[in-house]
Amino acid sequence: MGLDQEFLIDWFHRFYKAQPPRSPPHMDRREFGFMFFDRNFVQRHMGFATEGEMQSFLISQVPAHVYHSAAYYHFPSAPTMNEKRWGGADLIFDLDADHMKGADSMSYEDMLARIKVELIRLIDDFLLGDFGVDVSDLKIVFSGGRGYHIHVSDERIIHLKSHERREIVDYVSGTDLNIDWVFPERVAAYKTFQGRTKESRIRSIPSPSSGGWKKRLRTGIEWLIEDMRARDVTDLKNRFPTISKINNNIIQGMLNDLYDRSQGTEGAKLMLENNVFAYFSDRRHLNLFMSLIYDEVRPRFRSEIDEPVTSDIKRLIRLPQSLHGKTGLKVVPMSREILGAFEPLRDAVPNMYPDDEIEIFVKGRQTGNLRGQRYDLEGLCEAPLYLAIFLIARREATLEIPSD
Amino acid sequence: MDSLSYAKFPFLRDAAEYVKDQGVTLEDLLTHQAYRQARARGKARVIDALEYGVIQLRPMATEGDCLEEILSYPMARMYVSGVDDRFLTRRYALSEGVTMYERLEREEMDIVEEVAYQLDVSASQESGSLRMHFSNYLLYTSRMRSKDWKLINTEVKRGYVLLPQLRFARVLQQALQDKLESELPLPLDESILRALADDINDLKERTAIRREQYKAEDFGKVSVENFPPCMKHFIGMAQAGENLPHSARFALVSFMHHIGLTSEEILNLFAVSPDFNISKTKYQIEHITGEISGTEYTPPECTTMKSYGICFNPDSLCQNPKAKVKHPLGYYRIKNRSKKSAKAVPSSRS
Repeated sequence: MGLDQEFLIDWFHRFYKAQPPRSPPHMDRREFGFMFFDRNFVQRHMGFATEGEMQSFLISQVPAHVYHSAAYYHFPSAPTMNEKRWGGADLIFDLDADHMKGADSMSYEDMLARIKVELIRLIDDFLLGDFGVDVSDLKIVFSGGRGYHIHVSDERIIHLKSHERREIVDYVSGTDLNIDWVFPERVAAYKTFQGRTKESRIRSIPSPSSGGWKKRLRTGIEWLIEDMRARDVTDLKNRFPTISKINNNIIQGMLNDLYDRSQGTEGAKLMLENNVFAYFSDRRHLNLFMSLIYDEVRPRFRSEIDEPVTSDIKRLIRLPQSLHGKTGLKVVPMSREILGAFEPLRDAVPNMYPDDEIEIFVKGRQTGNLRGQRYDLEGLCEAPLYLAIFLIARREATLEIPSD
Repeated sequence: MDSLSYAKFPFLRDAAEYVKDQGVTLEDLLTHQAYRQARARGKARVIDALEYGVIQLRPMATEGDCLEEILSYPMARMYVSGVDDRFLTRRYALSEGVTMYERLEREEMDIVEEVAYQLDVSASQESGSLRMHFSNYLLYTSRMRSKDWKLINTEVKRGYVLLPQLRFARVLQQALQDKLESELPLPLDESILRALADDINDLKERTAIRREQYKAEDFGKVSVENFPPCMKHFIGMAQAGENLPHSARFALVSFMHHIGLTSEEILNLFAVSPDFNISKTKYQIEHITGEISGTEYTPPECTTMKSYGICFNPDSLCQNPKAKVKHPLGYYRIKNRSKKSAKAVPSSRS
């Protein structure tokens, strides 16, 4: 075993002795799984009867990663899934930088901040909002790595199977939203000219008292109207790349219809007062506005979750209060009130990691913030232990000092 | 509720209570001359399901008519159980569901709520609609293919959805269908089977005929040409003697089974696989087709295939947003349909 592995095992061992994690709710019905620093497989199908049993396992075996099943089983340690007998599962959401667009070009810190925005939208708008989940059934957890997990344990929800959970996934991620349902079209008037009848149709806008995605897109329209108000055509094309190929005259026409006050009240205001898209002078202006709603508003009002995780009813999830083997950070559970002020790179560093300095070799140059301290390290250097653990776990530094 | 309501909705728990109160015993129902008409109505229920997919209305003017109609329901369940054929059971469950849906359309909201209660669907009236928790809504709607039923296209407010009567009745249809599919076939003892033997044999024959017609209508002749590209790819691999990943094997077998190939025919396809082991392959096939496991598996949806990494060479139909192909079987149905309608065009002009 290498020096780095020994070092991490030593500190994980000390951590588990000093602050052993509490057992998850209904522990006796959960399957546990582990990965180790020095073994290449996941050890699954384990079960513990008591918290003490679980804690002794952590202290003696010092796993790199600790997981428990989101599912409740009748026989959690049975060797096959069928024999375990599934009896419900927490609804899990995983928000991970790996699944977020544009995350590759961000720093670790920025990435975590971006994820938190998605997370708060998921919790406040979808879970506590639309789905009416009670805060007491909601557990928010920093994963110790690149994101957050949410465990929902509402009695009515835990019995849902994969198909039903997929509907929840689609709901949250804005998939298959039917625009004709949100903005139904009706015939407003008939015109007959030289024996030919022409219908004119108008689309309605959901009222402020509507619910679900109707309400969400109404809020979205209000946002869009304010966001575009002070922009000219060029500015708008930069802001919303999905319309970059649209003819400038059409864009200008749409803006005029919305904001021009020469006829009295502006169109945008009338639209929202009367809940109807009736103030566009040209069909193409309306179509452009509709495409902005779908392509620019909808993505800003959904939440980017890792989809297969939520619809999987047999998945393993990290044990809160355990350590993440690839960062050395703690998997931190927290309430919604705490979340606002939570800063993972400050608050998830275990407080029992000391700040005594040790010598490490940093691969390339590594910069960032940890425990509220800025670091900028390169090559052979001294670093406080808590930072050394973080960098070595992330394989950005090593104790194996190269000889040359 | 009165006997007329029970006759219209004979699956209600209270309808069974009513029968008990009338003092009708199982033996009387099966053999007594007085219930000949009830038995005939029961058999007609099953035939209606087979032929029309909905139970026809029969006279319910008198108490006697109503009692016969109510009794026709347990009779029908026994007939379906006696035939013990998955195709018939599903078709019967669907027909009872559809029938209830059509009848509920014309009922007072109170009756609708009562039917829901007796089907164990929790819902309550609120301002002319029915309100249910979204998790209950999902239990019955998540398998409906239409976009209209997706949760995202439903107003969810603080955990609840509000459904107008007709939409709610459709949810109840699914609840009844699920209930019947899980309850049937009932275990029947010898004496019942003996008493009903002639009718059961007749129904078995009718079922076999109908099933053949249904297959022919629904899928056309099996033609590999119309298979989705993923399935063509798997068949190509199997026939080239390559080993299929387990997930692909599962998808292919369940697909072939669903479009009507027999286990023998599916088995032949794998006979060239490098690790071909006739008894093992046979076992796997029969497991997937439900002959062993009792569960008849459906091929995975496109999204699932994608996440397994076995969605191969998606073509323009797979990716056409208007076609909304979400499932390999959906692809196959569309292909077969478009072929038929393409042929129909010139003949309609001639």
